[in-house]
Amino acid sequence: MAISVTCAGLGAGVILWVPIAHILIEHSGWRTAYLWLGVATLSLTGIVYVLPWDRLARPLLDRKEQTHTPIRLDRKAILIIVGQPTFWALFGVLFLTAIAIYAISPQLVAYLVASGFGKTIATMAYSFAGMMALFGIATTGWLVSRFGSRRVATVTYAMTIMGLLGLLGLSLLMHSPHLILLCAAILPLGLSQGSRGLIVSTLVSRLYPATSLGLVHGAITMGVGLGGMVGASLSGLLVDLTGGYSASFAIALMAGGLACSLFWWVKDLRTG
Amino acid sequence: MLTPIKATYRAALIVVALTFFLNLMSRLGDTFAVFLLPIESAFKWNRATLSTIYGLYMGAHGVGGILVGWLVDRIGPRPSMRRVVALLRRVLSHPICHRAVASLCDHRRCCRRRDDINRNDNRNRASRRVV
Repeated sequence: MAISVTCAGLGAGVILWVPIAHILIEHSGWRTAYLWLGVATLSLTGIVYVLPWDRLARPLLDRKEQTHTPIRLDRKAILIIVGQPTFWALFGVLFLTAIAIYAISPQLVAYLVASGFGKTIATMAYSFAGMMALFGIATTGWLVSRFGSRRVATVTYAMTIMGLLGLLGLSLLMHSPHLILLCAAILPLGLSQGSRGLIVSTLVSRLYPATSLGLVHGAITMGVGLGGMVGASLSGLLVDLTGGYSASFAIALMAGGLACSLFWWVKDLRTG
Repeated sequence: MLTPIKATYRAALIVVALTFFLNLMSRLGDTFAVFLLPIESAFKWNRATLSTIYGLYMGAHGVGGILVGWLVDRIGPRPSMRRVVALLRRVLSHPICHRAVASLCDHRRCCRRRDDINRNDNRNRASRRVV
């Protein structure tokens, strides 16, 4: 539940920042908008720095203990973790999911504008997806504890694939911008966004000892970054090469399908 | 006076609230989708270049994940933050960052200057034609 709430911040961030960025761009140009958003990020650094993290993070019962006891992971333990197929399966889930999401997400506003929607509607659709993610993430934690990670993951991937197909249909099937189809596509896509991160986080905390959680989490989260890098770069390249977005959608669909299949193939993910 | 269990719950609540806030702020990077078209038209860059720039941001995010995870396990959350802030200060004090911020601040002045130059050029050309 706690992880769901913290992850919901990711969805709330999109609802907050995307419209702000759009309004700032419309009113004062992208450079000024970028500058102000940069100032907002910089101010965060100060907030993060002054927060009493040690006092907050540690249960108050252990306050007497002032020094942090470093968790020493020996090289052997790291090699054992990295050598397990489960680790690579979890990494693969996030890597492939990130490819599926980031092959489309950065291009979504541009794609919707190219499909005939206005910039404001395109931006609203993008932030609406973020808002839906808020609900999706909040319910995923509860659903996983009730139905298991495999079933919930499969449903969320099916929703992502439905959303992607709906978005693709906007340009392939419709000759004019179709608002209902846009809503129908954004809804499942948004609801499923971010939920896989939560499922993987839950699995990691179940499968690995507390002493290695930070490292395993960091290593697996690297999959999101690398997947995002591959997905975003590849889709941009494909847009330039093909002059359309269909190839990017094909990559996203394949990556989503492959990520889902890992929940059926790998034993720890299947039973987790 | 709070009982130890209540105090622990309160601390956990504060951590959850703060992490929510940090995650909220972390989504600033997602505004790239809104900036894509204006930046594309301003610099006349192709989509592959812009997407690769975003991809690099994502890649750095990924590498940062493992480094910070390792650091938190090793030295704890607050010392890790201190080191990350120190690194950020070093990066932000780099001349490239100064130039980027200056270019964002001065762009109006630059555009105005460019407009003035163009206007003067046109005027000179017109006067030459008259001569």
